[in-house]
Amino acid sequence: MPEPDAIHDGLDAIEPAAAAVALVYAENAQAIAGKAVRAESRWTGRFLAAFGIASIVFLALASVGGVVAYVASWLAYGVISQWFARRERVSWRGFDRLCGRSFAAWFVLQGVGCGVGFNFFAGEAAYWVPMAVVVSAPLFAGAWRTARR
Amino acid sequence: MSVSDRSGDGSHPRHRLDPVIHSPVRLSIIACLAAAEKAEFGFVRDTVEVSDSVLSKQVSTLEAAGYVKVKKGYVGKFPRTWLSLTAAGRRAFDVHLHALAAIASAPSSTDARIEPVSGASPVKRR
Repeated sequence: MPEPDAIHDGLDAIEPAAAAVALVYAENAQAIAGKAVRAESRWTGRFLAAFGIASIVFLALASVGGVVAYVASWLAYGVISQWFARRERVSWRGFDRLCGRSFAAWFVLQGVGCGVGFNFFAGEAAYWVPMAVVVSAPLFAGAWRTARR
Repeated sequence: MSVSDRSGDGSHPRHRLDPVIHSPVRLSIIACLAAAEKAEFGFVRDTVEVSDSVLSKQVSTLEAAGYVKVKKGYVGKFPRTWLSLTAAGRRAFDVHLHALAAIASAPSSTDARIEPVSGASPVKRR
């Protein structure tokens, strides 16, 4: 492998044909990498969808289980999901931002939904089930956007 | 002599070529990391198709240039190394590709004009 200085000496005299070859090489490398990253990043959609399903289940159960059961469920699920995510080898560029936005929206909706629910509609499934679906919508939207990539 | 010392401030696109990135293996590593938020060492090794030792050496060069961030951790009992492209690395990669494109689209310096034999307009030899 040539040292950087030797490469730079070569770069000083680089011809258009050599640059074109290097450019094609770079484009091929990007295409191969993009395909590999997409293939190995499919877990990100499942991750968000699973979080959405968990959100619906936990919120529906919270109507009868109360705040303590709800928080305990999320703590357990958080540990498991983090362990799952850390095992994965790659995530596509932009996933952290999408994840952040999805969870921020979910967190706000959940705060409002639970605040109203625990104070005014405790035990009323007619409130909690639709609310759980609405609260989980940002997570499913994130999963859908991931799947469309 | 550093890259910046040598590159000067000339307007020719060759001055924007980055010798750290121009190496085929390092270019492949950067292309791989550019598509990812972060990638595990083994994933990059498999995608770029190099050995552990080659990848380790090239990643050290990229890390020293400030283009790649290396984070070590554990998954259970197993050690893991995560690689990600820094903002400087992403910028350098873009600049390098644009410089290559600019040079590739320029007329070759080896092109020579053939003098017209009898009043014909000059033609370029290809």
